[in-house]
Amino acid sequence: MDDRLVKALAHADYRQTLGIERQRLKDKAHAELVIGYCGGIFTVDRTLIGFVNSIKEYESAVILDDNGYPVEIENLEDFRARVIGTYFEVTNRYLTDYNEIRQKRTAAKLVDL
Amino acid sequence: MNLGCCIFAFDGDIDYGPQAVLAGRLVEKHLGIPVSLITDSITLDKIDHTIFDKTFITEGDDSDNSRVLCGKSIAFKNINRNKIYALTPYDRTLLIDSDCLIFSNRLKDYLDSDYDFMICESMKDLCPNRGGSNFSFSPQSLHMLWATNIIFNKTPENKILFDLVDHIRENWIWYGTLYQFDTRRFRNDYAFTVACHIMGGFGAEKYYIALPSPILFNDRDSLVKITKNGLTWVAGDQNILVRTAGQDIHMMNKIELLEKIDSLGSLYD
Repeated sequence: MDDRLVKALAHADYRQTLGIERQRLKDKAHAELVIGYCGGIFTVDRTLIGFVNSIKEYESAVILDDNGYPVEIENLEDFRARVIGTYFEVTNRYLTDYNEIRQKRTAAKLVDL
Repeated sequence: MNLGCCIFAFDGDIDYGPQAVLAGRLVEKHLGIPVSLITDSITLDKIDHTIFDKTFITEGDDSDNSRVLCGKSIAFKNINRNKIYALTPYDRTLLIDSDCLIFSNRLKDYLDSDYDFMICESMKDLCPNRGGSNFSFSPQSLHMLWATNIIFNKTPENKILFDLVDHIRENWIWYGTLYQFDTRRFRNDYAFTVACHIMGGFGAEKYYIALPSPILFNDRDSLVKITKNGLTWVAGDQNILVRTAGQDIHMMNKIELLEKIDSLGSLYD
């Protein structure tokens, strides 16, 4: 086979696997950003963080969870800490994993072969 | 409220017992809840069932239900899944397929939630442009739910739902015609999808809450490397390399799952 094509196909394999790895890490991080609290299910994102920060002066509140159901949060400070803690924990791990795959330059290395 | 996991396993053309042992150990490790096995005496005699909290012997199904797996027609003993409602020893139950491998604690938050009935809406397929994990019976019909993972409480409403699944199975052709699904074999996924649709007031509202989607590997995908840091796969006919780590998996290639079961077993030590 033409050497130019061999190199191009190897690069195509690499890009395909890199794309899948990126998507996998993104999916994993998104799944890990979902928390359970007071019986509700909440996705931790910048909107939720902004909201809980904007109602800091309250001790408790009713907040709608991912499914639109009202959840009574009795200790809003604890909820805020959990939300922010989860966000930093997950995104820091995501960054570490993402930087790791960026340094791998072949499909085989990307999948630990 | 006592909480636990149940797994069905009935050996036939494929040995589901060892798969259930593996799946059960992974649930214990990552979710920290007791696991019970629902099986028949033949399957139970062949496995080390000491890991299970409780075991229940029930009649295996003697239907001629079958499926094609790795190019072969294989007996598929799945018609008594709805009996879980009566058999489970727990007030709140996580029901998983024996080929569902739990490698994360993602379901823990869902188990701790207040919702009475949860089921998977879709599976994740890591390979681009590959359908099959997220589909509807037909363009005019329902989006299919996956009965691979279900969390439910013992409530009067859920009893009606599980009884309804039995009724749908008994009238399979009729419901298949009505909802436009393939009736050649019984699938719990289809039966639970229709039951949830009816229980939600025929689509007026959702009866269920969606569980997180496991990653789906089909019977053309091959597991080529197993380490504590993750699993490496060669996916499909295009031989796409894929890696998973700390993510729940639905491994439909049961033949390979059995071949690799000892290596996979090292992951719960």
